[in-house]
Amino acid sequence: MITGRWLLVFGLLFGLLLSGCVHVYRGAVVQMNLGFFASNLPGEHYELFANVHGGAVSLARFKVLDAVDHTSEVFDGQPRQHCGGDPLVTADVQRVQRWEVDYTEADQCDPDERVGTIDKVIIDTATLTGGIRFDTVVELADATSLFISVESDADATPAPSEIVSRADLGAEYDPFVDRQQACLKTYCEATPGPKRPMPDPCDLLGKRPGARRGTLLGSWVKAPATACAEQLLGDVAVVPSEDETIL
Amino acid sequence: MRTPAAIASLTFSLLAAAPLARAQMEEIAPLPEGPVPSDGRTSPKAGENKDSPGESKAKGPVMLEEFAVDERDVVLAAARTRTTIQEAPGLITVVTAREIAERGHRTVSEVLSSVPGFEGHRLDSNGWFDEAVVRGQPRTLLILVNGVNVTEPLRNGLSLDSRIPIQSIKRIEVTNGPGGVLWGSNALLGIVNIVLKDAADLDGLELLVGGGHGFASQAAVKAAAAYGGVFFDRDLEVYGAVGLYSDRGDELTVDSQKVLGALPAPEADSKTIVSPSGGITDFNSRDFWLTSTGQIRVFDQLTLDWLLELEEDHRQLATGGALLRGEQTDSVTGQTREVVRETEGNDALQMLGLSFRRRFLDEKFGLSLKVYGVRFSLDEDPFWVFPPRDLIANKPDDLEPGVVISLKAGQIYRYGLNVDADLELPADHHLIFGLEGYRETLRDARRDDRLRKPTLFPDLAMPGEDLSNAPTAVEAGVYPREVDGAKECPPPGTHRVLVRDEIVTATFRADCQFTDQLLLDADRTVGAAYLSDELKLSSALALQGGARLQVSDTYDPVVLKSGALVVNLFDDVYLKLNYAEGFRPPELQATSLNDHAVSNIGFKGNPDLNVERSRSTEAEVNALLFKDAGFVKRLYVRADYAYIVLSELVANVSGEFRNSGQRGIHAVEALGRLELSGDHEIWLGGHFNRAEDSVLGPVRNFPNVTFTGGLKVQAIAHYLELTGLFTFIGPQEDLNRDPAAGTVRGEFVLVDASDIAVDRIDAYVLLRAGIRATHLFDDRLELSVFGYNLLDARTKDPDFFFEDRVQNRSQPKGGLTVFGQAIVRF
Repeated sequence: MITGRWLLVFGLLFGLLLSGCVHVYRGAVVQMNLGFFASNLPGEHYELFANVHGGAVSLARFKVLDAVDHTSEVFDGQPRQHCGGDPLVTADVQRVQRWEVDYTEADQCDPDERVGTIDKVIIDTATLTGGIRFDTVVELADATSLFISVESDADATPAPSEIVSRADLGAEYDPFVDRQQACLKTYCEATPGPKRPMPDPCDLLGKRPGARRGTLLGSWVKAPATACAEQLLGDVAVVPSEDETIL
Repeated sequence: MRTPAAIASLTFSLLAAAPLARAQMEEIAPLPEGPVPSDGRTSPKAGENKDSPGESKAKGPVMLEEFAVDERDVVLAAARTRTTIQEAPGLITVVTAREIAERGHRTVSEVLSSVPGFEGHRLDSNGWFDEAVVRGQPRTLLILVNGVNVTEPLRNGLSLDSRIPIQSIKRIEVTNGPGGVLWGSNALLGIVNIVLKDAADLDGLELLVGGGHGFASQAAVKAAAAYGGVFFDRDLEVYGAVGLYSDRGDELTVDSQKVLGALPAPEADSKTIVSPSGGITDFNSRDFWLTSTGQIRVFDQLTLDWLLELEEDHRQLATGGALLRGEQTDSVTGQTREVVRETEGNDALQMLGLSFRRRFLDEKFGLSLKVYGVRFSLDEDPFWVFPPRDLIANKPDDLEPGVVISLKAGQIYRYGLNVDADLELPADHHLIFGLEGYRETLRDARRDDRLRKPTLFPDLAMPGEDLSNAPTAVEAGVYPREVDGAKECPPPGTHRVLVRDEIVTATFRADCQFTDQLLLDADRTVGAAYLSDELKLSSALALQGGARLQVSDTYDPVVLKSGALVVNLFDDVYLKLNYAEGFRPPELQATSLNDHAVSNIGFKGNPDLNVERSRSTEAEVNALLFKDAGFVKRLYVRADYAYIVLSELVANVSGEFRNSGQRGIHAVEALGRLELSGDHEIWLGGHFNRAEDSVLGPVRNFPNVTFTGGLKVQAIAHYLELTGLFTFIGPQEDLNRDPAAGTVRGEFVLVDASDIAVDRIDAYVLLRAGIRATHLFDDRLELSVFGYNLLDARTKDPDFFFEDRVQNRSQPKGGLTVFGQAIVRF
C-alpha cells in the first residue's frame, strides 16, 4: 500500500532526477579567418559585435599585433621577444590578443589571452597559422550579423564606434555566397562569353558549397559595403549555443 | 564466424549432458536469508569474500550494492565496523565477480560501462588507452588495485583493457565523485578499487580456456590458470593466477582522417589537414596480454599481493584517426592503395604490495601498514602522432601519415608506505586516520626519430662554439643536407646540437636516425596526512567530516575537506548529503616534456603547474523496497544529483601547458534493480550529464544521456542462465570529423578555423546477450557464450576535447563479436 512515506521516497527520487533539468547556460563559439586585416595602432583595439534581435551586443574586444614582440624566454641573460608562441614559427605573423578595458600593456602578449592569428599560410617555410576563436557566453542562435569596430582603449562603452567590417550570417549557408551568385548572374547576363576572362567566372554560376551542419556562416566584408563590390576580408563560422546532444 | 558457431555447438552439447551431471551433484547450499540487522552490517554471499574478520562474523543477506564498502579497505577490514553502501557517505557501486561473470564483462572498462555515471571503452592515444570516463571527463579516475594507486602518472590514467585480468577480480568498488580526503592524488571525479581474488575465492585448481571472433576482437584466444589453497589451520593462504589474452585487433572503418594540425598544438585557431579518403583496417599483428596475480597471507596478518603484466598491443590508426595500415580508398579517384604501418605498444604494469594488519586495545584500535611498489614500463611506437612539417610542401611521397615519434624504454616507478589506523572512541566517534608517503620517478624516456627536413633542423653548434670537446666533432650545419645530390646525415655517434638556443646532445645512427630524451627524468615525492571522523548521533543520523594535507616537492601543498550527512529516513530508506574535494597532480608529460629535444615538436613542458581540483556537492536517496513481497524478492533503487566544479584545469596554451579555466558539471544518476524469486533479476540505470567549460563553452563531446539495463533469467534453475544487456549511448557532437569545407590540396583538405562544422554522432545501442551453464559436473565445469554489440553498431568516439584540430582523435570502434569460454575446477 502506498503511504505518505513511500510518496516521500518517490518524491525525493523524482526530485533528484528532475534536478538534472536545471538550466545550464550554454555559450557559443565564434571562429573566423581574417586576411589583410590591419594591426592596431597604439591606443586602439577592435571590438566584435553581434546583431541579435535588432540590437548590437558586444562579444569581445581584441587587438591585432605584429607577433614578434614579447616572450618569457631568456637567452644569454636577455629576454627574447616572441609574442607568437611557437619559437619555431619564425614567420612574421599578426597575433590576435583578447583585450579588456582594464588590461595593461603586459596583457597584450599574455599567452593565456591569445585568441589566434591573422589567417596566413606560408608555403615556403611550411608554416601554418590559423584563424581566431572566441568563446562567448552570448546566445548567438538568433544572430543575423556580426561586425567589427575600431575603439579607443579608453572607450569602455559597449557601443560601436567606427565599423570597419561586417559579416551577415546565415544558417548553414553563407549569405555572401548568394549575393555573389546574384552579382555573378547579373555579370554573366550582361557580359557575352567572348568578353569574359579565362577561366570563365560564369562557370561558377549556380555552384554553391554544401551545408555545414550546426553553424551560422558568413563572410567578412569591408564596411560600408557596396553591392557587387564588396571587399572580402575573411570568413566566419559560429557554433551557437543550442545543441542536439540530448536525444 | 566458424569459431563462435563451434563454441555454441559445444555449449549446447554439454548442456544436454547437464541433467545427468545434476544427479551427481551435492545439494547446493542456499544463500543465507533473514533480515538485515538494524546496524546495517551484512555478510557476504556464498562464494564471495569471507576473509575479512568483520564479514566472517556478521550475518544476514547481502545485495551487490550492499556489499561491504572498503573506504580504505585495510582500515575497515581491521575495524570490523563495515558500513553498507546504503549508509556510506558517498555514491558507491560494487560489482562482484559473480556479476562480472553473469554479465559477460571482458574488461574493467566494460564493467564500468554498466555503472551509472561512467562511460567505458573510450579510446585515447593511438587506441592503446581504453579509458573509463566518469561524468563525461577523461582521466579523472583514481585506479586502485588492492588499495594501491596504479594510475599512471605520465598521463594520469590507466588503460582498463585486458591488462587487468577480469577472471582474477573478486570485486570492483566504484565511487562516483571526488575522494581526495581518504585517497589523495587522482581521486578527482571517481575511484575504482579493483580487489583481486585470494585464497578465499578458490580452493584448488581452476583452468579457463576461451576463444572468439568478431569485428571488435579478431581471432581472440584466452587461457588462464589459478590455484588457491589454505594450509596450516589458515596460517598460510595462497592464491596465484596466470592468464593470457590475445587477439588480432579490431576491424575498423575509417571515413575521414585527421592527419595533422599546425603547431604548437593544441591551438584553438589552428588549421587542420584532413584526408577525406576512407579506409578499412587489416588484421593487426597479434596482440597479447600476459598477466599474473596472486596473494600470499600468513597468520592472517601479513599479506603479499601482486599484479604483473606484460603486453604487446598494435593499432592501425594514428592519434587523429588516420589509417596507418589497411586498404585506403581515395575519395576523388576511387583508387585503392595499401597502407602498411601500424603502431606498437609494449607497455607493462607491475604492482607488488606487502601489508600488515592487526587490531589492539580490545579490538578498538586497528593498524595497517602497507609498503608497495608499482612499475610502469613504456615503449610505444609512435608515442604520439605529430605532423611531418613538409606536409604542405606538396611532396606526396612524404605524406605517410605523420608518424614521427616513438617512446622507448621509459620507466616510471611509484613506491611508498601507507600507515592507516582507526580508533573507536566514546560517544560513537570513529576516527580513521593515517599517513602516506610515496615517491614517483620517471627515467629514461627516450625518443627515436628521424631527421626530416633541413629547414627545421638546427645547427649542430652555436656560432663560434668550440666543438673540440664535443663527443664527436662534426661540421656545424643544417642536417640532413644535400651534398652532390645525395642526402648527408650526421655521422653516427653522439653530437651536440643546438635547440632553442641551448646545446643538447643526441645520439645519431645511420640514415639520420637519432635518439634523444623525449621526457626529462623527473622525481616527485609526496607526503600526506588525513583524518576522518564518523559520528553516529543516533541510529538514524550519522555525520562524517574529514580533512587531508598533502605536500610535495613539485606542487604547492593541497588541503582537502569533506563532509557528509547520512539520514536513515525510515526502514531501509536513506538520504545522503555529501561534500567532497579531490585533486589531480599535473601529468608528467605536461611537466617534464623536454622542449630542448632535437627536432622539437613545439610543445613546452611546465614544471610549475598547479594541481587540478574538484569540488562536489551531492545528494542521494537510496532505498530497499518491497522486500520478500511475493514473487518480488526486493527492489533496490537509488538516485543522486551532483554539481561538480573542476578548476585549475591544465590546458595547452600556445604550446605550453598552463593552468587555465574551470568546468561546471551537473550529474544525475539513477539505478534500480528488481530481484525476483528464483534468482531472476532486472536492472536499469542511467545518467544525465551536462558540462560547461569556461574556455571551451558547452562540452558536447560526451553523451548527455546514457542508459544501461538488462535482465537475467534462470532458464533451468541453478544450471542454465540467460542474460541480456543493453547500453544506450546518447548522441554526441564533434567538430570537423568530416570536413564539410576547406581548401583541397592534392589528396588532402586544408581546413581553416572558419571551416568549422558540427558533426553529430548519433545515438546508438550496444546489445549483449549470453548464455551460461553453471554448476555442471559437481560444480567443476562452467560454460558461457556471449555475443557483444549484436546490432553491429559501428560507433565513433568524438575528440576528447570537442576541438577541431588533430590534438587527439576521432576513433572508430569495432562491431559484432562473439566470445565463449569454459572454466574447469579441480
